[in-house]
Formats: sequence, structure tokens, C-alpha cells
Amino acid sequence: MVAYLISMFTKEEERYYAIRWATADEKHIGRVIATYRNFLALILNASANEYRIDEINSLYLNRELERLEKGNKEDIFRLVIEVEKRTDMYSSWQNRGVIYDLAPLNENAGETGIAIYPRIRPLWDTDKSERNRERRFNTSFTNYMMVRAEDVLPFEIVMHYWNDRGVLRAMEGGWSLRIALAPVMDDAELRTEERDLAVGYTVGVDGLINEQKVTEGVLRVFDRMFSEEYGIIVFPEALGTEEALVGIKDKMREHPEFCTFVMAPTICADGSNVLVVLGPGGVECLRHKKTSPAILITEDGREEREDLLFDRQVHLLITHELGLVAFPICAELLDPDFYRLIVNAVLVDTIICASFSPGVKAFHDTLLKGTAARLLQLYINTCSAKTVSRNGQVALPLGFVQVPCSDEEFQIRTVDRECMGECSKGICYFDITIIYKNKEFHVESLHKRCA
Amino acid sequence: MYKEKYVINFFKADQDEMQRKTRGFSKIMVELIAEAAFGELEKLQQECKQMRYSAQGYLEDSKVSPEEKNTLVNIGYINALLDVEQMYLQKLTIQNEMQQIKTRYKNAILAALVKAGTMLHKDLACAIGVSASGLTAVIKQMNATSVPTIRVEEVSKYKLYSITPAAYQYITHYMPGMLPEMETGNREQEVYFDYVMAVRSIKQNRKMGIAEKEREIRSDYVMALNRGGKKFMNGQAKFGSVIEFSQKLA
Repeated sequence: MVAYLISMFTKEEERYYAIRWATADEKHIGRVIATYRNFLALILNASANEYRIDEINSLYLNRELERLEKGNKEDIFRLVIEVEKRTDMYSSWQNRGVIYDLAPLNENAGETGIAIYPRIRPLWDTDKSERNRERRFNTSFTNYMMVRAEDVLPFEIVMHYWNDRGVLRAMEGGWSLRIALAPVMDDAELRTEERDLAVGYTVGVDGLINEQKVTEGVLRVFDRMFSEEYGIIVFPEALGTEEALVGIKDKMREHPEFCTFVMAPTICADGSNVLVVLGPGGVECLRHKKTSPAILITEDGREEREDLLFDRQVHLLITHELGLVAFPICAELLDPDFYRLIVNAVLVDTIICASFSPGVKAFHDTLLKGTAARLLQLYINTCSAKTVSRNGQVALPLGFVQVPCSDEEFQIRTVDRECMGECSKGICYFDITIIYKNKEFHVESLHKRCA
Repeated sequence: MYKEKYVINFFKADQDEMQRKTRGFSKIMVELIAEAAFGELEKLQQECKQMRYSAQGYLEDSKVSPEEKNTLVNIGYINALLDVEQMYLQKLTIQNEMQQIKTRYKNAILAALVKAGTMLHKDLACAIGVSASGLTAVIKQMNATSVPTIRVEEVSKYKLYSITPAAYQYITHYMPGMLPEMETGNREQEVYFDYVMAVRSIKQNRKMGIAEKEREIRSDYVMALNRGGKKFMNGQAKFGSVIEFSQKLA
């Protein structure tokens, strides 16, 4: 029903009536409340009795809906918000396992062009977020999020749901989150193949030249990080192989008691660049194919474009602790369409980006845009990106951590390489602890470890 | 009654039906356990135990190796236990949290909001007999639990309060007396509201000429009321009658 009512509004109308309601008088508010009292009572009753709201179409509701079609849109705008408030939070998780795919909750998504998904707020307070000032239904909705089909084009959304908790560690007055960002080594070499096009060139990445060595390094550093029970482990882009993925999964299956999410190093093979996100116990949460190619300018000024086989699906993970999480792969974060989709259309709360890039400024600037929306953002690059760099160097810092807090000092924390190239010979990663206490964020410890 | 709603024949049921019935079965079971409704639980057990035979037969017929079958059965068993445990905890959490609310205005606020749906700040203050400034602290106390009971929203410069579905669910189960009685006087023209709860989509209803069926049901309903000699007085009874009559629409 929520989707049906929303579909009566265009985006412009949504904004227009939101502004009108911002200055509504008491009499008007009272009149609308009184008009829809019975209608809303019926929905509350049905919702609290665990009946799905879209399955309970009584004649009364039908008749009211028909009447609404000709009614005052200003009042209907308010009604949409009231109806959403009275529908119980998404709870049809039984008999589905712990991590599973989620289709839009409304069956009329195709008909109305509105997809409704559960919305679970992250465990931090975003009172000051710019999103709270947006003139949209989503600003007022509590349990659900509506997405207009036109807003996600040319992409499609694939939602995944993690029905558990445990990544955050509770502490007095808040929580803490331990994260490991792994640049791994600086000598991974991409296996590439150039193809001429009418305009520019494409470079297909088809795995690694020193695959065996890199895989060993990945597994070695993973063993070390996993044993320390981090909440999130993030590997950079393009350093993965199926062998490394199987090794990581095997290790995680041995210890399902560790509540760790792993963004495995992306695997470049068969023309695609795939990120696999693993949940506790090595359960595969999602496989996301990179949708936006990297573009590099070579020394002689030639533009090289990454040759990608992509399917335009954007995979997102709904969690109870970090809210909605997006996993852009490197250049995807810089793609304006992709960024608009994840930040404005589907309202992600956390962004985790793995990269293989000779430069980081564009990423830093893009992450800065998320500060107003109070996002939690993690970015990690790899020293091995020097192989695609014009000057044979990788720009520092290698990583960024942005916490959703008002204190300017902590808005984007940079992670610098300090091992002077020693990391290629040993184990190296960044250990980060984010502490949220009394509505304030602190990035308490931040150091690299070489062994 | 339980038999029709929850029993699955694993040889015949499709995936959707199986999912829906399993979910419904676990929910009702948890509900009955939480309320210690021995009689109803026994009835549920009697009516639904045939599923065990269907399940066993299906497993016997399955081509999966015995070891794998055994593992799958254990996975299902453990998942079911954990699902039920999670639901039970969720249910108890709502109960506990509601009982933890200390303010003496708790019942008055809930009753006022159940009756009115949404209320403006000053109207609610007036309804429970506190000053407008005093109400802010009371609402804070009401929501100082992990399960929010009162939804607070700011529209323009006014604050609106309404009850959350979790709180409403608690009231329907544990304080049914708080639910408003049917206001029959001003509902003569909206008699649908009392009993009609169909399961058809809007477009299907239009196509099927539902108006005719509606008339039939209305006369049935009036007859039922006359036979019973009294009107349905609360939401639960009303909902029961709704289901009964809505089945005629299917």
C-alpha cells in the first residue's frame, strides 16, 4: 500500500508537498489526522497482528484508495508517512538462514515503479545528517526505504540481508569496531592484455603474473588478521585468485565463532573484476562485479580504459549494526552515477572501497562528499599499484577512514605507509579501532604492523 | 483450524506455500508458548503432527546420500530451534521493556493514543492531565527502552505522537481492555470497516465485480449479528469475524 500511495507522486511533487507540510498549521494537521483515523487504525491492527500489509486489501481500504486517487495530494502525502509508521518492522526472516538475498518487499514494484526495502538504521546517531533535511518520504520513514526505479537507472539493486549482530563490540555508552585494512605487498603484477579500439585503448586485466606468490602473501596476512578477530577485514582490489578465496573460506569455516566480515581481494578473470564478501563462518554474502572501468593516462598521454565484462547489478548488504553497506570497487566510487545511486537513492550508511590505483586524491575528494551525510567510510589502496603508475610510485596515504562525527579533526583519518618497502617481505596491514561513545566517534589506535 | 493454515504436504506444496506455512507455524507456536496456552498448544500439536510423516516420507524418497541427508536434517533442525529461540526472545524483550516503563502516565498515554491514533503534543498533554512542558519528560521516559513505544515526529513546529506497532501488539495481547470499543454510531455508512478483510488486489476486485459479493456478505454479517445477539466488542473478535467472512471472497 505504501508503494501504491507513493506512486501517486512524482519526485517533484514529493518535494513540493514536503515543503508545504513544513509550514502546516495546527488546524490542518488535526483535520488530516481525524480524516484518516479509521483507515490508519485498520493498518495498525493488521500490522501488529503480523499480517503483511500488502495482502490485506479490504473493501474498505479499496474504496478509500479509490477515493484517494481523486483526493487532495497534500493530505495523501501525510497519509503515506502515517501508513509507513504503522507498518511493523520487517520480520519475515524465519526459515531463511542468516544471510540471504532480499527482493523488494512489495509485490507491486514493477507496476508502481517503487521498490520498498527494509531500512535498518546504523547504531550511531545521525541527527545532524544532511539527509534529515531532505524533502523526501525517506526522511520521515522509520522502518522502510522506498526507491524509485528511475533513480537507480542504469543500475539494478540487489539487496542482501544479514540477520544477526556481532561485528560491533558493546562497551559502556557505545561500541567499538576493529578493522584491518591490508595493503599486503608491493610486488603484485597484473597480467594485462591491450586491445585497440577506434578511440583509445582498452586494457583487460586477466589475473596476476606472480599469482602464486601473491596468493601465499594474501593467505599469510589473512591468517594473522583473522586470528586477531577483527570485525571487518578489507583487502585491496585485484590481488585475488580463486585459490586465495577458497583458502580464506576454509580458514573462516574452521572458526565460525569469529564474527568477521571479509572483503576478499577482487578476482580479475574472464573479463570481469569480482568482489566477494564473506560473512562469519565463510558464508558468501554477495559477489559484486565491478561496473565502472578504471581509466588511466599513460606517460605518452594515451588513455587506457579497463576492459570489463559487467552486468550493472549493484549488490548491497543490509546489516543491523552498520546500516546499509555498499562495496564499490575502486573506480566505481568515482563514477557519479554509481555514487548518486548508493548515497542518494538507496541511502547507504557505510561505504567500504577497495582500490588498486596509482593516485588517491579523487578518492579522498569523493569520500569528503560523504561527510555531510554522516557516512562511515573505509578506503584502502595497495602499494602494488605502482606497476600502473607513471612515476613508479604509489601516492600516500594508502587508506582513509572517515567516521560520521562532527569533529573536523577526525573527519577523514589517513593511513600512511611507514614500512619503507619492507612490507613486501613480511606481513603488513593497518589496524584500526573505531570507538563510538556518548554520540562521539574516536579513532583510537591506528598503526601498521610488519613482521 | 490450525491444520488448514499450517500443515504442509512436502510432496505437494510449492516453495512459497512451504515458506509461508513454516513461518506462520513458528510464529503461532512461539506465541502460544509465550502465553503458556496449554490447551491451544495441544491442539496445534495434534493437528500439525501429520507433517512429520510427510517430512519423513519426503526424505526417504530423496536421492541425496544418507550422510548428506542426515546433515541437512540437522541443519534444518538447528536452524528451526534458533529461529524459534530468536522469536521467543524478541517477544519477551517487548514484554520486558514495556514492563520496565516506570512513569505512572504509561497506561493513560497508551490508552489515549490507541484511541486517537495520532495526537498533537498539547492534545495528548490535555488527555492525560499533565502540562505541555511536563509531557516531554514523560515521553522521554516512555521511550527510554530498547523497544520504542511512542513514535515522535515533528511536523512544521508541532510534535505528533503515535503508538508503535510493537506497543500496539503488546496492548492487544496483555491489555485488551484498553482497546477502544466499536463506535457504531458514526460508522453506519462504513460498515465495511467492521468485517471485510479480503485478500484480493485492488485490480482483481474491480474485475470480479466485487460489489455483488459485498452485498451478500453484508447480509450474512447482519444475520450473524442477529443470531449472536450482540455486537463484536474488541479488535480480536472483530478480526476473527473478518477472516471468517473474507474466506467467502476467496
